[in-house]
Parts: sequence; C-alpha cells; structure tokens
Amino acid sequence: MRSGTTTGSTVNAPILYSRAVEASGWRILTLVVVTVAIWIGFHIWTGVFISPRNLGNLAVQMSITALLTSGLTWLLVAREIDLSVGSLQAAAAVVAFQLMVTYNWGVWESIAAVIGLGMLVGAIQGALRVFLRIPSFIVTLAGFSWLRGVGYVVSGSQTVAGAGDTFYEIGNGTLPAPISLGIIAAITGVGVISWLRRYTPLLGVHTRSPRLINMVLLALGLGSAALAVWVFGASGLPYPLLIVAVVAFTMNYAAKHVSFGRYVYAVGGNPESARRAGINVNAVVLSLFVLMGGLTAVSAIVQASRLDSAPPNLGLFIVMDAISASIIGGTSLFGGTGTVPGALIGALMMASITNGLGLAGVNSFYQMIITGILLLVAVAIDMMTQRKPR
Amino acid sequence: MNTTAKASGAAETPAVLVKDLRKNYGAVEATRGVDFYINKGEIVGFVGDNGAGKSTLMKMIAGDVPPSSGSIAINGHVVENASASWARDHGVEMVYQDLALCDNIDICSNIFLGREIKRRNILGMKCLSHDEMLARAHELLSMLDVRLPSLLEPVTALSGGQRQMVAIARSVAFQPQLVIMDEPTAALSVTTGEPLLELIRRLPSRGVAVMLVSHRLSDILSTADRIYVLRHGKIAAEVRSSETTETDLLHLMAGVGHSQKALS
Repeated sequence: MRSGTTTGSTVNAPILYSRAVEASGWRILTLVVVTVAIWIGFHIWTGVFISPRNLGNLAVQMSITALLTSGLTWLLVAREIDLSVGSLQAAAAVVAFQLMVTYNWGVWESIAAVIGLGMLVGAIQGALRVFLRIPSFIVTLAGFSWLRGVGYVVSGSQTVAGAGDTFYEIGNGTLPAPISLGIIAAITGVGVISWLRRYTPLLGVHTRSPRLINMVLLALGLGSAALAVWVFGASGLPYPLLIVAVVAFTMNYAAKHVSFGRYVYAVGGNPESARRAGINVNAVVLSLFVLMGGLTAVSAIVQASRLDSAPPNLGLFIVMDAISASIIGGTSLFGGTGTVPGALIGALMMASITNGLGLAGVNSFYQMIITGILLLVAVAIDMMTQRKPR
Repeated sequence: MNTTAKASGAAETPAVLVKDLRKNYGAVEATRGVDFYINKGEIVGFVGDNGAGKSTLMKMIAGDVPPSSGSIAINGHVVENASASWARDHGVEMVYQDLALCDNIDICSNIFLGREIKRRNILGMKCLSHDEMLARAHELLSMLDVRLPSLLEPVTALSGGQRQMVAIARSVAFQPQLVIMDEPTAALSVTTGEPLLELIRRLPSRGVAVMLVSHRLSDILSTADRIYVLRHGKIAAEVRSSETTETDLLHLMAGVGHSQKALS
C-alpha cells in the first residue's frame, strides 16, 4: 500500500476499503446472475434464446430503453422524475421525419435540430421545476400529455415513413466486424490494464488490495468481452449499442470523476446540505432535465430509424419500462442512490423477459403483467432496504 | 456584489469584530445592537434562552442572513452585502446543528464537497483527483486525531459522534479564520460528546477562532475561553469561563440577580 506523504510528516495510507462500495458490486453481480438465469431458462424453453442472432437482437431492443433509463437514473438519483419521455420521443421522431421527408432537410441537420429540440423541452420542464417550484412529477405529467398532442398535431395523426438509407443505417446498421473486434479488444484491454494498475504492483500505481468482489467483477468483464466476441464477432457491433455504450461510459465516468456527477448524488442525498456546500442545486437539476431531453431525442432518432417511420403513438409505455429498469438496477425512489450500469442491467433484464416471452409465443399482455410485478418487487426491496435501521 | 474594506485601527486584528448588529424580521427585533469580538485562536461561547438571538447572530456572521444594520469584520475585512459564499471565501465556516452532510456519499467526498481538488486527465479534462483528496482528508483526520473507518464509507454508516467529527473536519479543512458551531453536542450523549469537545479544544492550536453556541452550559464552560450571554437580542454579559459557574450563567440568561457583568 502507498503512504500518503504530507508536509513535514508521513502518515499511514488511508484505508481504501468500503463495505458500501463492495455491497454495490455484489448487487450488480446478483443482477447479472439473475439475468443469466433468465437467459438459461428461456433457452431451455425456446431452444434459440442464447444464440448470436437473438442476443444481437436483444442488444438492439434494449438500447432504446437503455438510453432513457440512463437519463432517468440520474434524475431519480437527484430526487426528480420525468414522465414525459415517451411523449417527447414521439414528438421528436415525428419532427425528425417531417424535417427530412416533408421539408427535405439533410439527415444530420435534422438530427441536430431534433436533439436541440429535446434539450429545449428539457430546459423548459427543468425551468418550471426549479424556478416555479412545481414538482417534476406534475411538470412532466403535463408534458406526457402536451408533447403527445404535439406529436399528433405535427404528424396530422399520420405515420410518415421512408427517410432514406443514411437515416435507416443509424438504427439498423453495424460496424464492420474487424473494427468491432478491435473495439471490443481495446475496451477489454483498457479495463484489464486499469484493474492491474489499481490492484497489483505489475503496472506501477497499485493503490488497493483486490478483494473477492474485485476478482469476480474482473472475471465478469472478461466473460462479457468473450460473449461480445461470440455475438458480434461475425455481424459487427450495432450502432444503437455503440451509442448506448458511449452514453453509459460517459455518464458512469462523470459520476465518479467529474464534479457535476458528484453533485448529482449530493443533491439527491441532501439538497439543503448540497446548497450549503456551495453547489448550485437549481443548475444541477436544470442540467439534468436538459440532458434527459437530449437523451430522449437520441432515443427517438434510434427508434424511428429502426422502424424507418415515425408513428405518433411511439413510446406509449416506454416510460414505465425505463423507470422499472432503473429501479430494478438499484436506483432508489428516495433519491441519492443508483448507477447507470445497474440501470442498464435492469434494462437488459426487462428486454430479456420481453424477448424470451415473445420467442416462446406468449401473449404480450402477460409481458405487461410480468413487467408490473417486477417493478413492484424491485420497489418493495428498495423500501425494505431504506427501512433498515442505520 | 460584495465589497470589502480593510478595517483600520486595532493593533491585533480580531478574527471577528461585530458592532451594533441589528436584525429585524418585520416588527420583531431578533438582535438589537450586538457588539462582540473573537480573537484568533480563541473559543468563545454564546449562551441564551430560546429566542435570545443566538441563531440569527450565527446566521448573520455566516452570511446566511443579511443584517438590518451594524457591521461585521472578518479578519479585518468589513463585510457588506454578506453572502454564504463570501463568508466562506473569507474563512468563515459553519457547522450546522443538522451537520449539513450528504449521507449517501462517502466521508472524503463530504469533506471536499463543493471544493473538490481537480487535475487534468489525459484528454485535458478537469477531473477529480481522488488520490490527492484521500491523502489530504487522511492527513487532516490524523492531525485532528479523529479515528474513522475507511474514508470511502458513506456517512450514513457512521455514528452520531463520528458524523459530528466529519462535519468539524470539513469545517477546518480549508484553513478557516472562524468556525461557527451550532449545538455540536445536542444530539450526543455526555460520553460521546466529550471526544468532540476535546477536538474543539484542539482547534485554536491551528489558529482557528471558534464561535460555540450551545444549550449545554457545562460544555460551554469546559470548552470556551470567554462567554457572551444573550438576552432579548442583546449581549447581557461577557464573562470568563474560569470565573463563572453554571448557576451564574443561568442567572445571567434569566436576568436574575446580576446586572451587566464586565470582565475583570
């Protein structure tokens, strides 16, 4: 272990072990184990669940929810919520197709405009929240209605389709296989090097001693890389998955290494304490709504591209899936707790159930029942955890 | 915009010099012309019944509440248009009764919250310097002789006394001139409060002035060098701890049997 050298004296190195951090690692691992168990169960049932083709589909299917649940996780951590994401998704998709098909805008100009529009809507909702002190539940419940209405009005209640090959590629294309393999290898390499630098003396830094959970998580990372090679080695990485990976990596990095990410958690833990510590709580909350609006617009582009059309009833129930994924992934309804990687695993678990039941030919109404039960179970666990004596 | 002017005159500038400080909430006068000073490296207690003006006084010094009239000078800088951030930038820290900690984040992050140490990463982005913050937090806690579990443990895992110590460590982490403490032992038993009082007694050795507000008169008497007694929004008495008893303080607070008492 390192020694922390101070001016004029040397003090023992701080103890860098935390039961809370370790418990968080075990929670993630539990979610993964449950998800894999679900995969195995569906594979036994359907015989085709665990195949490169189906797991590739699953990755793309979860990407829409994953983008939304990432933003919602930070909002929930900061004690806020956004119920309007499905309606904004529809409005943004409709506007994108109107710009490209009706007004002949270019693909990238349209995408930029739609992301800007999403951020503007987020800014309006955030401003109503922080300046007029209207609870975010109410502000975004109103958004749930008026944004859906905007979608119907702008589209004339018609589904516009056919935005061209470039736009279609965003949701349906893949990177060439060699580049995909290179990316998987590079990410795995960076992860392994970081682990070795932190937990072993092999590469110089060595700040901590590895515990069982650290070794298990390393094995999990390597296993995920092997799975990615098996699933995407031949077909290539789908663009939606890459977008999710970039968003998730950035947000997870920011949560750990950037002041803003730290402030999101501080605001969620105790807004008054955060304010007294000099944090501009209003600016943090407003920024989160802007981020949520931007992410919703990106999800709209990916979803509309996958469908190659923009039906105004897009994303009717997706807010339910996104909030459920976040809570299943460990985000607390009380604020202050939750991670983007956890929420992504929650999204993967939910997408797996939907996908598996679909493969098994089960009526989609049962899927809704199961989703509801899963959400109740996750919330019940959250409530019981919060009630534990400190 | 805050403006400051170096106060002139005194040979040794006190950490805090307050003159004729008044605060009105509508028709209610919370403080009615308060004068006091706290020297560097001195612990000064403030006692008084509920409604005597202690909280308002603390909040005005900490910049949370603007005074209606009067002057405050921090280390010789006269405060105009006070704000919490101005006070903090000029070395005034406050340990609130509720501690103002974020329970969900770790000890080290709480100590540096809002004043994180950053470094540039390989992409040139300013990122948190965890190693440096951990080393400094550890050094600070070692100097204060505060024993805690891992600095990465969330504050929610700590006992009441440990949480108080984290709040105090945070208040002295950035070389303050003055630390204001609002009822630091209120939530602690006598046994668990003693190590905390011991920690407060060590602060003057770091050049810190302490404004200690407490209803526990025994804590004030055992910790403070001097004591101001507030009554009806005014300073009713100023006494030395070594020359005063709890009974004296109670009489002064109630205005029974003692008139304005001057230091000998």
